[in-house]
Parts: sequence; C-alpha cells; structure tokens
Amino acid sequence: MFRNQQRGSVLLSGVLVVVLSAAPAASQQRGAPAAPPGPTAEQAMAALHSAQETAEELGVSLSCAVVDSRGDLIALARMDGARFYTTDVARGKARISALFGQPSGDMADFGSSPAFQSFNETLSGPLYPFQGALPIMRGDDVIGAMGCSGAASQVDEDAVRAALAVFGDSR
Amino acid sequence: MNQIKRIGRALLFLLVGGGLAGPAGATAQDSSARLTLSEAQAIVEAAQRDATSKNLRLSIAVVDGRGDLIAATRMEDARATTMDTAIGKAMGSAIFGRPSADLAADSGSPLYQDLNEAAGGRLRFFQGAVPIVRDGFTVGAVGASGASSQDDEDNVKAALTAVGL
Repeated sequence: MFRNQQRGSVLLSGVLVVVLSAAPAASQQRGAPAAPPGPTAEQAMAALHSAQETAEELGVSLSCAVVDSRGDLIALARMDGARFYTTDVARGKARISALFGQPSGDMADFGSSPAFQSFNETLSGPLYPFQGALPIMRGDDVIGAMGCSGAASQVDEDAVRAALAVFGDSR
Repeated sequence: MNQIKRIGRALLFLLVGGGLAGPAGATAQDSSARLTLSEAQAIVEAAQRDATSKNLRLSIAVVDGRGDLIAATRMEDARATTMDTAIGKAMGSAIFGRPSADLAADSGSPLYQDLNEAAGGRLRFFQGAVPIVRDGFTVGAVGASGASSQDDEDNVKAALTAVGL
C-alpha cells in the first residue's frame, strides 16, 4: 500500500515535471519584477530603421514593434503600404515573445490551448503566437522583444533577426 | 453573434467617425495627401528633441487620418503607460479632426462612449494631441503623454512647427 502510494507520487511528480517543462513559461521567465534595463528608445528606433531597410530590399511593407521585457511598447513603425492592423499584430507578437522569452513562432501550440486564452484575457491585450518576433537577449536575460508583421511570417522573422545586432544581440 | 455586434460597431464607427472628421468635414482619401512613415518619424523625432530641450520624458505617437498608428516612441524614463495614452489621444484627435483638448468636455456623452467602444476602448479624450492638417484635410494626428497635458500639447505643436506641418 505504502509502496503503491510512493510509486503514485513519483509518477505524479514525473508528470508534473514533464508538464511544467513543456509549458513555455518555465524555461525563460526569470526575474520579471527585477527586469534588467531594456532596449533604449534610440536602439529601438535604429532597429526599426534596420528592419525597414531589410523590408525595402525584399520589396515588402512591414509594421515592426520593439517592446521591453514586460511587453510594453518602446517604439513602432508602420511602413507606407503596410495594412493598418499589422501594427497590432507586430506588437502582439513582440509582446508574447518578450513575456515568454521565446520566438513567437515557437508558441503556436501554446496558442491553441485553453491556458493561452485565459492568459490572453488576463493581460487584456492581444498576444499573437505566430512566427515573426524574437526575444532580445543580454547574456541570459530577456530584455525585450522585436516583432514584425506584413509579409510571410518567415520574412517577418528574418527582418527582425537582421535588426537584432542593433541591440548587441548577435544571434 | 459577438462578431456581428463588432462589425455593426465598426460600421457605426466608420459612418459617424467619417462624418465628424476634419475641419473641412472630410479625411484625405487622395494618396498624395497621406502621411508617410518618414513624415511621421520626422514628427516623432522633432517632438523628442523638443521634449529633451525642456527636460520632459514623453511618449509620442503619430496616427493617420483614420486614427491608425503609423509611428510611436517612448522616451527613456517615460512611464510605460504613457504610450497607450499618447496613441489614444492621437486617435481621438484624428477621428474628430480636433485637438484632443476640445474633446475632453464632451467625453462623457453617449456618442463619444460608443465611438470609443467601437475603437476597442483605445481613445483618450485628454489634452495633448492635435490634428495634422494638409490642404484643409486631416491627414493624421500627433499625441504626446508624460508631462502636464498643456506641456504635452505644446510639445506636439512645436514638433509640427519644426517639420513645417
């Protein structure tokens, strides 16, 4: 009986570990209250200019947004010809990327879970778990995120990746 | 059902908002009259320079004639919440084609509340945003937040003067 209980609790904790480590929040969401200083406004605007250059080279019109580690907007730009709602999508992708410290493209499965819906409601702002935003890292710390929207999501992400060097993030 | 309601609200928003916008009673549809991103960014940068010279820390937002965001920046040490306030003031100012200060007195009216609901509750009817007018058309608006409302408004006016709009 005792052994069975023990085995049960071992099993249960095993399941818990698996569930927790599978949750996107578990891996990178560290020290949110004592957040490291985020990207500066100057860096954010330079990154937007960089993404614009990439977009112009590729012949696409994007909206891009830079947020801090709490997901709050620092700077945003909508290129001429980009659809009006791409601002919200760029911001929402950047936000979820900053909050979880992961590329928004890795969060698609989480996006279809009921947990995501309640999370989205709690934060009372749109989170978009689609490809096109990457976290901005300083060492191991997530200091913010940048997201773009307006083209194929891989192109959105490529424009972000090319701009990350502005923040001293050389991935 | 909810979606139908939302579409209905959006239609109301378009009809009423379109009817009210602009000192000339219309928003610019002509593409040459539209505000470009480079113009919007020039306005934001001019506002930042003005704020720095007055030792203010502001968020600044530029929207187009429909109230849709074009460019926004939150300066170092400006509170995070100032960003959505700057955007909301600019949206209201563009949609009504009036300085947001003029909208404050009426902001309790059911019409304003319905419009705000249709806009997703984003509008802010406080002083600190002015329309951007070109050839008699409201082509957008610029709003600031982070200082006193009067300082916010003075800042965006100075920015428009600086870029010749």
